[in-house]
Amino acid sequence: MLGFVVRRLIVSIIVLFVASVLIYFTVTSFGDPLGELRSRNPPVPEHVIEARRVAIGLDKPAHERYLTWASGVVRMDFGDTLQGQPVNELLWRRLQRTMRMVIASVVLSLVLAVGVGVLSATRQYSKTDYFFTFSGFLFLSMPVFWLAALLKEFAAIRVNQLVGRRIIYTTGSESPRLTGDFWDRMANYAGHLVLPTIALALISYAAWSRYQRSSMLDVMESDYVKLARAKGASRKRVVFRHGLRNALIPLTTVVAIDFGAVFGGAIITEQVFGWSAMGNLLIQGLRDYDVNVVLAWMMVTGVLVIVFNLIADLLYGVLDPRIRQ
Amino acid sequence: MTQPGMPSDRHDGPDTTLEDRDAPDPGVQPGMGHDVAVRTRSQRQLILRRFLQHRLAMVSLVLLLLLVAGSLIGGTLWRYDYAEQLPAFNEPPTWEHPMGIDDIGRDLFAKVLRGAQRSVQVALLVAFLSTTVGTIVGAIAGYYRGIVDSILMRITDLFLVIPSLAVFLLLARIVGGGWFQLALIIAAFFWMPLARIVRAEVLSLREKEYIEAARALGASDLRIIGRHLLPNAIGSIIVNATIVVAVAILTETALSYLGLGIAAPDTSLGLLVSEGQSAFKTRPHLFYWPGFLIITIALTVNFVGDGLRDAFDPRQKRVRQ
Repeated sequence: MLGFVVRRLIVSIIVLFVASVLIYFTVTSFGDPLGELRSRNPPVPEHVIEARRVAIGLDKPAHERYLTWASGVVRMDFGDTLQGQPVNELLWRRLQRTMRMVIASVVLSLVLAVGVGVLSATRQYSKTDYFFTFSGFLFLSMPVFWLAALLKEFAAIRVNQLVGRRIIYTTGSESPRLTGDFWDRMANYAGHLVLPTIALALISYAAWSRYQRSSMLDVMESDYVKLARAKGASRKRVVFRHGLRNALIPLTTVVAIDFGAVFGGAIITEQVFGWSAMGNLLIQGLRDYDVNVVLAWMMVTGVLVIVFNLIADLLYGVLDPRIRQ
Repeated sequence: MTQPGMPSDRHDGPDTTLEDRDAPDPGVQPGMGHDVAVRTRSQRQLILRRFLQHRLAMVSLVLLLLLVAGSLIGGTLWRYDYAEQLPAFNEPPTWEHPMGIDDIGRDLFAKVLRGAQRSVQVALLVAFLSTTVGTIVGAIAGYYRGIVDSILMRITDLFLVIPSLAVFLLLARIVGGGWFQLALIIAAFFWMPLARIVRAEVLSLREKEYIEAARALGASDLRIIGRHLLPNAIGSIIVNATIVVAVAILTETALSYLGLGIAAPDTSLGLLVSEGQSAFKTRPHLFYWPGFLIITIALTVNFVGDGLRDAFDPRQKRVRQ
């Protein structure tokens, strides 16, 4: 198991390195960070543009710039933005916010997926099953941004009216200049978190619940489950102890593969709800052709995806005793 | 040379009894293709019948065809052009303008038709390109093996680490907002899953005896791949193509919504949702209709794909009889 994890880690680091090279050279050879300056009207004098070019280091050849960037990253320094601000300053605050959303929505959609999957599988071809099958397909076919915007325009206002005060917020990740004690702050975070989390979770839950349903159906057909029933174990015990424990194993892999997609979905939900977090950083970086910002996003997200994948692999070992050696 | 009943003909599984009952098709050339053609035809009929009996899939197919046809030609039939500036502006829906007029005097229904056209064009082109490339690459990789496979695996590794949406955003920013370019960059990454599926099927089929027999009879590589290997993988290829249509339309609209896909003055369903959202208080229908269109297209495509999957492989039944 340890050997497997180490091998996975080494491959992932190589992949991350290759990705950084590809992205660096794509952005620097096709995107012109000075394009905005050049296209200004009235035109900016040539020597100003030239000075700017030197200031952001564009006078050096691309491979040299890449090496400078890479040696910085090894020391956890992602360089400066085009405006001269250190990327690190921007990064950690925003990362914290994105992680809040990603973790909350992965947890929520896992709970939903397992619950719905087990329910549909144990009642195969019932009305419940058809309902969840249909709603699963519906969420699979729904654009995240549309669902998120719908929740923002509808759900928030309804709930707030119902409660009589504002508990759900629709813009931002927390109120500006947040004061109050720990619990006030947590309530404020949660109020901002609810809708983006639901939007993101509903989209990924749809596919996961389909996997959970079919793996649960497979397991419930297997001989050891029939044996457990024949020996007189209660249905509840069979479903949860014998069935679910084994049916969770395939889901672990699916979820691990989908982590990247969840981060991708977070870009969209952050944009809908006006979060100043990682997704916003990426889009701004792409608009400006700011290679340091784009790469900081890619590297941090890449490392997180790798870490989550490792956790999933380790969980796999816990769930499946056969591969524990 | 023809040897009917040779094991080489029985590549479709154990139930070869129908073979003798079907009258040979006079149009089929004698020789190797003879029995195979009869078999595939009846197999095809079985699949078609299973699909036609799948009620949800049939209803979805009809609805989908209507939507696609409406999207592709609706814009030319409607009395206003999406770019035409009318004397009025900021008008609520009327009979003349079912979705009203926007703040610079354009008919909103014409805009929605145009957006639907662009989104459907992108989705169909992506499905066509990625299916063609995926099938060819998968067949070559599976038949000749070699390095193609390891390249595919490495690119897949890359996407396990970097979210594909981010890569699409990056490329969309670089190539700009044309629908054709957008379809190309999406297709450039969507063919890989299919290539791996086709490769896996070809890899296992190429060891079968009927392939050996075909080779012994002097069939060229091209004929073996085209006549004997790919027809057996057609189920996976078609089902995958439907999934690609659904995912492609969701990807394109997401890129356009984020402002890095199809850009003004052209429009797409994603861009319209984003415009509708910013005018939600005054024109909520501009938010709803493009969204409904995206969902209906993706949902019906998914149902058709599900019905096809059931028809091609009844053991994997997922929805209903």
